[in-house]
Amino acid sequence: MTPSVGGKVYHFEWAGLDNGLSLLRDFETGTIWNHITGEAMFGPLEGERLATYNLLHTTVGAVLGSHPDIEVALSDRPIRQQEHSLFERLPVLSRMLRSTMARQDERRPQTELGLGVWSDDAQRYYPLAVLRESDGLLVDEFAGRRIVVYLDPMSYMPASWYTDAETALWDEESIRLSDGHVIRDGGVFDQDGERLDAERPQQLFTRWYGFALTFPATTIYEP
Amino acid sequence: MTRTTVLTAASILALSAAPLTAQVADFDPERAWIAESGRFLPFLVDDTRALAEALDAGEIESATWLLVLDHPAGRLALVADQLSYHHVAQGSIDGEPWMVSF
Repeated sequence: MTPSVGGKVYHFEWAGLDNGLSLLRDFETGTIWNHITGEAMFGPLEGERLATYNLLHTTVGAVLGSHPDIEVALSDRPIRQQEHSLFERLPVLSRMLRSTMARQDERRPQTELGLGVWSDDAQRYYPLAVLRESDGLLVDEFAGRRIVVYLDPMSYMPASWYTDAETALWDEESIRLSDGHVIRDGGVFDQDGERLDAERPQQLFTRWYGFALTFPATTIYEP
Repeated sequence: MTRTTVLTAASILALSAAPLTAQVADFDPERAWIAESGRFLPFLVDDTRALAEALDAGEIESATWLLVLDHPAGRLALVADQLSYHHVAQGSIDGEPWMVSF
């Protein structure tokens, strides 16, 4: 996100939970903000919204393959290594967490993982299990555009790009798109191997309950 | 450590995300659990370093889970496990403010 409104920069902290999801609070006004949409939901700045950008889940090895010069911000907190993502630590929602939830959307299991994708006027959830059943690769129409959703072979995280291709096929650890482009090393390349300035939809690797309660009108991908 | 030097395109910031018109859940302050201030210290970022250097130095491993901010001002990696404590990280890239929450 860009933490500014009207050119003024605000400073944020974790503020609690709503719908089982983190809330943010700015120190300057005490306003409570939605941490996914960037909306000011309660307080003096209610109605304002921070510009949001993708926060992509990946691994050190995977991102260095695509962006070898990327920088990292390391805090003084210890780093616990894990074989699987931190999400795997939360198989059951606690009673306290559930007490903040307005309702449950029973269309999918509450703690199921998946990739949520949204635009200004539409949202769709791609369950990880469905993506795996699709060999970790699918092309879909979303909000009037075509997108490719896949499981990154290096990070094992789901990811998505906008595309003009109608079909996509795995070629070892690359994805060959029917428009001639190739997805590999965390990027999209043309026929000559040049990395393209491709566009990603807004996306979030998250649990179903969080996405469904943030965007109640979300659709769910069906093959 | 070196300061982030990712190129900034201030003009791109002018293209910041369009207003969100999709249906988004309402907020009920009576339902939410609001914590006291200071429960988790946000990570205020004033230094960054090359990820490859951190890997070579053994500070992180190849399999370490990262969150990569894809901001118009630049791209920056943060360690998911550290963010699971801080929940918020904030800083600037060439003077352009950014913030992530997790």
